[in-house]
Amino acid sequence: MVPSNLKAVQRRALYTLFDRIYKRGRRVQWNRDFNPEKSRRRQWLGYAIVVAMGMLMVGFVPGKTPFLVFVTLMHSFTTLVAGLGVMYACSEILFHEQESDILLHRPVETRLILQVKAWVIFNNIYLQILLFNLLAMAFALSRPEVDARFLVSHALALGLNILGTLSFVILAYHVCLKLFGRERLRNFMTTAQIVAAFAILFSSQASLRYFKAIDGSAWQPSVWLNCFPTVWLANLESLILGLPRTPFLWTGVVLALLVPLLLAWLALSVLAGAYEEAVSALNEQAPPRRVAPGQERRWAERWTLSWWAKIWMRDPVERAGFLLTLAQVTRVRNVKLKFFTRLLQFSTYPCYFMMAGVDAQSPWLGFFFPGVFGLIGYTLGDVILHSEEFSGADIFRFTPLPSPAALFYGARKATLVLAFIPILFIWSTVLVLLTRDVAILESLIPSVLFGLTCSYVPVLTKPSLIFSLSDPVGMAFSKGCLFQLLPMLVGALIGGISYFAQQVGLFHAWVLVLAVGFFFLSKFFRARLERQPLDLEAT
Amino acid sequence: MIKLTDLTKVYGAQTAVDHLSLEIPAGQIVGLLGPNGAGKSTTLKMITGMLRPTSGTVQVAGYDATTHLMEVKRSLGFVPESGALYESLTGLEYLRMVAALYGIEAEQADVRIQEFIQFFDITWQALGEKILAAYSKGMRRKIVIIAALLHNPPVLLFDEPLDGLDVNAAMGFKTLIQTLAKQGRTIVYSSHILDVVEKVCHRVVIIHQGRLVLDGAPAEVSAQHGGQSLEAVFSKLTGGDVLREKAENFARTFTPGGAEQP
Repeated sequence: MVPSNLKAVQRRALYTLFDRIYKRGRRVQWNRDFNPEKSRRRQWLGYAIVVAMGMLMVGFVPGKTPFLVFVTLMHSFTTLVAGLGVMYACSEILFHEQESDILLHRPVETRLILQVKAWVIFNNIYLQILLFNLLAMAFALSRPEVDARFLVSHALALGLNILGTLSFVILAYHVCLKLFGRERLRNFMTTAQIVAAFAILFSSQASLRYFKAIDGSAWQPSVWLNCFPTVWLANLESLILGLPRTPFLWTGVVLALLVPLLLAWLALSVLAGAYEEAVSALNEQAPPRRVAPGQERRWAERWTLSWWAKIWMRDPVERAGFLLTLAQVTRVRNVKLKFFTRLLQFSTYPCYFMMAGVDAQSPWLGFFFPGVFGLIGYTLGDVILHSEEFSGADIFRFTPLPSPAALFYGARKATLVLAFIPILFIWSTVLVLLTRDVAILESLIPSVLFGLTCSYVPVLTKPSLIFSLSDPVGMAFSKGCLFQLLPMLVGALIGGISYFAQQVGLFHAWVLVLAVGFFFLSKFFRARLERQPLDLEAT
Repeated sequence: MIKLTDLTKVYGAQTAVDHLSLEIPAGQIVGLLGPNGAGKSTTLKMITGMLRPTSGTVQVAGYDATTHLMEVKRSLGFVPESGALYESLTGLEYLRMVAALYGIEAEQADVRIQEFIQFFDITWQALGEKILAAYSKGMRRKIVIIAALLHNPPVLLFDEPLDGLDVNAAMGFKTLIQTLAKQGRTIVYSSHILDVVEKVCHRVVIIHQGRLVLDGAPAEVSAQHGGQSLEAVFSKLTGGDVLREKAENFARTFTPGGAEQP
């Protein structure tokens, strides 16, 4: 006998399920002492921290700017944080490789599963973002044109912001599936997520930089500003607060309402069928890859067998670490997502400096890179420690290795080939094209030295085997910020001294000092790493 | 109860299941056998509606899986080989969620869960306090089995259900499914453990490269093949009869006394 309210019961059960999965996070799977009660208590502490983090926004958004700029900056900041939150939530609950074995043979529609998941993500992110905006909203009430209606308008606009961001990410998955087919789904899903994350982060950063640079006194908005989705939301809020109604404002209002709803309709209704296909395809075995005789070894494996690779990596364990890293970074979804999203994000930081006024003639050009390369180097080192493959890492614990050093060296070299060198090449080309002077490349030397040294730091602060740690996404936000901030700050210091050294004609001497310093620092790091015992305690 | 007609599943150039036709009446336990990659799991997944067949039809409890998918899913209990669970939930949270998906009232679900955990020797406290990630493999398997039986379905599909169960739990489970079959439930039991299949199943079906190569009662199969054991028949039909010689030859390549020390 099927109860008449079955769908409502299912919706409630699924909501509770996905809400718990989201709030507890995947990392809880590795916490055998996890206590649901304690987790609920910690959640309140988390909310308090989010409210306190809202101070960042208050500090960033200048008070004496036109209302439109003020609210656009609030939304840009919000989109940046919400974008990261949505991406994390999507990777946490949207696609679970074994979900078809758990849910798809039960009498529940896949469309309902998708809609409930989206609702869970929306509610959780919306609550966090409201809390994040709380202080800034209170601060905004002191503005002359703002009254209590702002609280309603901003809450509504935040809802539309998150609905649009979330629908955009889900739609990106659907479109990839439609365009590229299920055979290559896993790869394209990851690519879609990376591209969507990058688009959200880049557009919100660009919007932030642009609006932050506006001089408030004589500023007049032009219609093209409606290219920024954050401006649409600001226009909607202006309308609710009764500010002058211009065609610019109306265009923004229409877009603010229409686009998120249209995206949501497409993502959660029109293309929802694609989700069922995606979830069941994730569980299917791909047809075996046909390999021509004599071509059994992939290019990377063949390359590590070449004589010059053997010179670069003499130890076979190092070469094994190199190959394992290539495989993890190019094939494992979680690692790929972390690796490429962060790298795309960090490697575009120089663009923001340029938007903020550092041009080809600037004597600073080239000297703001140490922070960026330091961050990239640190991130590369950090990513190769994490992929939650505890049992996979056991193989190294069984083998008679004296320390995790050789594996780490190979892994580090793989990330240099995959990311560091390509990014260095791209920025070198951009700088040469901008300045039409090859001599500019000289200014990148401190950045390269610093970046290479930073890549050792994670394994020294968290001694472990490569790919054996759990996902740092669950790591405390403050700790994550600190780890990112430090390379940036030290990098800025190095950049500043390098600039000064160039101005006083001591640049080459300074580079020599840096090279010698970093050489000995790396040597010290390597010696410490080689003294580390192999992490024997499996998680 | 289950009727497969010309069931075919093709992945790119590979045919996983090739025009499989099979009819299983109520009250029968059918052992689904085959070497790795023979198409057993794919067949089971097509019966559950998790995979859509490339061609052919699946009927369960009189419902066609393409036109009445929800009715088919309501009639089934499935234990997948992966034993997948939401590991961040406690056992109780998981089972209550599964019960709700079948529309079982919360109080009714708790009573049923109590009965199951008593049978499987799990305490209510362990079920409610620990998350599934902290369970042993056998305990997790028990939860997956409970989740398949909770709504009292007329058709049960088991893919390697004994994986991780201890001897006592496995014995209890075998008796349970035999009793369920006597009550009229249809059971498909896919496994590589031929001894168990031989003892528990009324009928044995062997699939090789997606095709049906043998269908009959274990005793009949043995009689038809000159009194050979099910294991010997299986090896003969699936090309494994040369494995003994192959293993002996390979063992000779090992250095006597263990690996050389550097």
